[in-house]
Amino acid sequence: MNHPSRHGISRQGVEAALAADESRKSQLMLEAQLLRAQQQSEAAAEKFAEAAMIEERLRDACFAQGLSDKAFMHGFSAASCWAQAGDFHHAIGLCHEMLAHPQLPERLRHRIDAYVKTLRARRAQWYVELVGQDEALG
Amino acid sequence: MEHTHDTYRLEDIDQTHPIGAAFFVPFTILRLRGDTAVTAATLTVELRNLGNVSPQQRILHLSWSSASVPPQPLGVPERVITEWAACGLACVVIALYAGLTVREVAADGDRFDYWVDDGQYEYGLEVSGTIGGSLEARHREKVRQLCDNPYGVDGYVVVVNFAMRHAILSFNRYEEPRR
Repeated sequence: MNHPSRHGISRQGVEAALAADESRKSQLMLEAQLLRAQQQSEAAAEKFAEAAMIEERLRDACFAQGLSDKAFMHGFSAASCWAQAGDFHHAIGLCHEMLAHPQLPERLRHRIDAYVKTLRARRAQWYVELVGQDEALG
Repeated sequence: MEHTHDTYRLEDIDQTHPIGAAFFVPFTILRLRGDTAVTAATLTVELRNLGNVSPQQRILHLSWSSASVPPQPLGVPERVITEWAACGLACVVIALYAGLTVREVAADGDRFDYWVDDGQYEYGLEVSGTIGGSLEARHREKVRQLCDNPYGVDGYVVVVNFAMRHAILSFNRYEEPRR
């Protein structure tokens, strides 16, 4: 099939083990989305956490193979999965690691920076609600 | 306008796309069969900017096994059924007309839903479904969204109107935002 020239992220040299991890984490993310749509938040969080761990592994493997753009893609996805699992601290930590990386492309740097601000705002909001609940109970 | 007829067995998306695409099959069936017992549907698929693929309007005959029909309600909101039904159809048309594999689920924040690849490079894929409503407006909105991705990659948009049995598959080039 003859396509117009396209700009994408390289996956040249990706081996079977890495592709299997891509497949597994994708299945976990779909299952998590289904569970969330079915209002099963706890089970969804478990799936997102499992997917996040695989994304971190994929990030490291891609860096080791010199696929830095793909590594950043998996790093951002790991942060997003941890956030959806409810672990904002881990998510923000991963974002800071990427923001400290000199090869992080500018566009993605802006997006991650904005994402960190969103996560911090949500965490602050959650904390206020949690303290409010404690005071109401106490 | 010239039309070419294509056939596809819906369950085959599971072999083509390694993300566990069988997940979408019951949703797509629900939206295409409605309250009937049919095991096939015909859609028109409009192709935009896919290079020299011709003709640009295809007739797609989609079939499925009655064993794939969900035996009980799927327990998710109607809009979720429609979105995942569209994802099932996107898996069909992206393989059939663009020759690509749906490789990964994208992250929340990527501005598109899936990563598709040609074996060497990965591109974005944004999918949206509707039962009624304007497909053109939805397509424009989804192209804008895809082109706001933080990786600067080109990508594809698939939008589906289930009432009209009509879908659009387009290739879209990333453009640097104007400052």
